[in-house]
Amino acid sequence: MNETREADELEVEETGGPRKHAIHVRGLEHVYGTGKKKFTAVDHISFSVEESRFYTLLGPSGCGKSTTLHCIAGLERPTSGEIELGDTVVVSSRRFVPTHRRDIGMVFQDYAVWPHMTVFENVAFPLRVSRHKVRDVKERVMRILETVGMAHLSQRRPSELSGGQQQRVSLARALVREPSVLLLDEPLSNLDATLREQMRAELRQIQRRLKVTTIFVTHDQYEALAMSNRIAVMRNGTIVQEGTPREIYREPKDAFVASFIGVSSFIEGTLQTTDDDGFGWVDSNVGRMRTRVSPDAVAGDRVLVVVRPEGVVLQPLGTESQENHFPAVVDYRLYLGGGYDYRLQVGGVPVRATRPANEPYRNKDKAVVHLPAEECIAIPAGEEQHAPPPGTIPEDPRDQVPGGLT
Amino acid sequence: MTLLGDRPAAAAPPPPPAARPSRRSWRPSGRVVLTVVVVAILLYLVAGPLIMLVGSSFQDSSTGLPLSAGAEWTLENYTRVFGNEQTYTALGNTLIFAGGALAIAFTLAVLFAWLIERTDIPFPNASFVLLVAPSGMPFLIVSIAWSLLLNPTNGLINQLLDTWFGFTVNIYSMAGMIFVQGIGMVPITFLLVSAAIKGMSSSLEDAASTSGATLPQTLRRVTVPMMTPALLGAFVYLIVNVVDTLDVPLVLGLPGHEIVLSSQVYLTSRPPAGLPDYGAASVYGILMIGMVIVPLLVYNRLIGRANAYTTIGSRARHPKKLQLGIWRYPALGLLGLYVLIGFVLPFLVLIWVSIQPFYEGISQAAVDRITFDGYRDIFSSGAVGEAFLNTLILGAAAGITAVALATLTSWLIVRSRSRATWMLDLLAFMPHAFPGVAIGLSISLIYLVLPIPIYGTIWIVVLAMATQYVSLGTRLTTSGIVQIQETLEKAGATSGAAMRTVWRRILVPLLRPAFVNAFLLVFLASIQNLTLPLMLQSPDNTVASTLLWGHWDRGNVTSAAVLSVVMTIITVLAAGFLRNTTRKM
Ligand SMILES: Nc1ncnc2c1ncn2[C@@H]1O[C@H](COP(=O)(O)OP(=O)(O)OP(=O)(O)O)[C@@H](O)[C@H]1O
Ligand SMILES: [Mg+2]
Repeated sequence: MNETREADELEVEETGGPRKHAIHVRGLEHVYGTGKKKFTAVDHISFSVEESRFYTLLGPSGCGKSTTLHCIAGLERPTSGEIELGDTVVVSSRRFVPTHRRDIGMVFQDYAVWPHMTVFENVAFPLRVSRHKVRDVKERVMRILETVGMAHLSQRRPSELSGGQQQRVSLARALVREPSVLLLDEPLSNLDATLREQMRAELRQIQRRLKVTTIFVTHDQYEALAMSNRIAVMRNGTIVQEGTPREIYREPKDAFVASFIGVSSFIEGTLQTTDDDGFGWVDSNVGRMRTRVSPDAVAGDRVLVVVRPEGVVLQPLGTESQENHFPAVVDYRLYLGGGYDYRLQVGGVPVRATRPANEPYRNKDKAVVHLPAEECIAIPAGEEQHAPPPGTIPEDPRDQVPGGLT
Repeated sequence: MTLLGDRPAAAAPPPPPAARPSRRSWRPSGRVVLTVVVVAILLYLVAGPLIMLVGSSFQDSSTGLPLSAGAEWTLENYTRVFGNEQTYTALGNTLIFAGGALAIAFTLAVLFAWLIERTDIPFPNASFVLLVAPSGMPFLIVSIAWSLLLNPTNGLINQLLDTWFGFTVNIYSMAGMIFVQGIGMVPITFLLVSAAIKGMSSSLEDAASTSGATLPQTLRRVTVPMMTPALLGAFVYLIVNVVDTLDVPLVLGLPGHEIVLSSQVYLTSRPPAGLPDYGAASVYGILMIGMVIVPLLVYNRLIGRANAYTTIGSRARHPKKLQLGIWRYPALGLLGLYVLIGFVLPFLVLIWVSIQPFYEGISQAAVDRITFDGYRDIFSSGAVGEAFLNTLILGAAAGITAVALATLTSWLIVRSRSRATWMLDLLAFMPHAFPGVAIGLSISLIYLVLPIPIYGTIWIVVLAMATQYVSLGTRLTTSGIVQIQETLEKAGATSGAAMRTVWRRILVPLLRPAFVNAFLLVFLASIQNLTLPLMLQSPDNTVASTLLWGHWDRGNVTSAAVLSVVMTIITVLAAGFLRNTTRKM
């Protein structure tokens, strides 16, 4: 597979510039319905995906991720905006390239493996309907089935496959014609937890090997963090923040991103001073503290200090006087196998901490909590209350692997 | 897995793409074109006749055709129809006829369905087949058979009754019509009801009983409410059928002077003597639409469209069967009695009469007269060959047209989010409320007026039949398409297949069972249908049913019996084939 790709690229290089597989979306808007039932599912979003990168659209249910993906695939006709796949404009005000003319491969949430065809026939379909005659269909199909580990089941019918196997067939079908763009609409969400983790790794490996530019849609933050080169966090049809997983996790732009990605504790306060090194002093509900400061926050602003539970340190009583050390009470703690999830009260503010199992703090114990300045970030409070209070964040307990993200 | 991130944000935007030869700025998508075409065809097929019917009801057509140059607008047809006492008699008769027949059909069908699906009655599978077999026998033939058995002059059973008990029964009466129609509708009612009973998962009933409900409570609070939509659906569907039917009212109603609305339309638009009165016939047609539209609308309102299409789940588990004990064989006997009355007896009398040169009772002399001349005459007659060929053309063409149109309509209704959906929905639903006599009447008027040369050919019947059955077809294909997940089509498009290819390689193969089923149903209904061919009859478009009616009407009893036997054999086999394919799905 690798070799063909390289050969391809060489060939192209001889005749012109290298093959461009980037994706550009500009000012994309999609409105469902008309009149009273009008609903803007995607509201003027723009982003670019670099060649052979893995790009994730992440957001809560109904925020417009699938709609965006379907617009890129041509399954929906956008109300306005431009989309470019590779070096082709597929959507603009003057132009709409129908789905089957776009150089894409797509994996659907429910796999959509055709029940009346065998595995082989399913995967061969894109080659057989191709406008260019493909000679080595069998070879290519078997090669891609090999890649996804399904070659030995090529004569099975979909009804004789497990969920994970159908998923691989679906992936093979999307990849078989070596599209410049791979679109994945929550392909892992129908799998059970173990299989999901395994497929997560495999999917990423295959993508990296084939170097196919990929847009991945998910509402699972851990999936997004683990797999992506870049993440766009969506909300109500707009992109709230875009960046690398580390940026998104360490420097959330607002309370929504902070609470949607990972678990966060929020401490309200006022930003007093900012230093040149990106740090500053906040007069917070729990006391004066030093934190990193988001570039969006200016001295005098109402801010929220975001703290990740992995960053929180618990210390014995008597250390209260040090910088960023505050008295706390253990409300209760939950055993997570690898450690404890502590629910603390720090001056009336709930704070979560993930600590190893060997620390001695128990329910109702008093302790001192250390919020290292490096682990805290002050972000503008915004008009709205920081949406979901800590503790009611949508989360999947199976994914709560303490410390597994840093 | 380590993070790959921490690369700087995407560099400067790439240069604008190389300009390609720009295409036409906007062209309608295939889906839009398809919607427009399908709506146009449906409008022509369905709205055309409706407009014609309404139009001609307001026209003075005593001197010629409605909507032609000389005709004038008038309310006279309405005053005439509603000032005529006969109208109210026909209306009342229709209500009594429909109500009585449905009562008989439902009582027996629910009983039989319950016995077969929910009790340990012996031979349930054979019973099922035998119960459904009479559905292959067209009502025209059933009526003729019962006329032979129970007519007051020389009905076979009447002769026996007279000798043994000294009284006779007159089948040419409202009671007789109700009896024959009711008995004849049992198989189709049984099919609808037993599907409803089967589709109901017994775990829902178990859930009630494990919640502490007694058997009567479970029946009242779970079983009956859950079956109500299906029963109501079957009931409304059958009301339309029975109001529409022309077979029993012609064969048994006319001799007894029991006129219902359908026979009224027939007599007014194709009178045995004198000029047709298209104006009055149209008013009667509208009256019939009014009669069936109310229950249909009420049903749609109550149940909602979505529910009407819900698919019957697979039977996950065989429900507990009630132990009948000593009642097992009496129950089987009751079922057997029905099969005897509903099928065996009528079929036997037809065979007997078909091998008699003329019709009398059973006697030694009659046995000596047995002859197969009737069959020889029929099979050597060119007219019969032509009629059977026409029947075949009619069934196949109507089936293909109706199913093709129905498939496109259903696909657009289910898949497109366009504003035309409600219109498609309405247009596909309308023929259901459009009685055959009214469709026949208005289509004949259209092609008398329009200069399209199909009047008097088999194709006008095909057109009418396709119009009539597009509703039935749409129902069947819609439930087929609903079962196909949309992503299967989308996956085709993202694999690079154009819409044509998606249809050919994905939709059509997946829909094949639904197609075959819908086609066979429309085919069978078309070849059994008497109403439309009769309303559109001319010397050149005789089909089996009109040929049969012609022989019977002219008193050629033996020929009628021979044709009946042949047609029964054909349609019962076709129905058997249909049930067989349906069951496999
Ligand atoms: N056909 C439609 N007509 C009207 N509104 C729609 C339609 N399809 C989606 N929507 C609305 O558009 C919004 C975005 O839908 P979309 O499917 O893109 O969400 P999503 O982000 O993929 O959510 P999920 O994670 O649940 O899949 C939703 O609020 C949805 O209700
Ligand atoms: Mg979605």
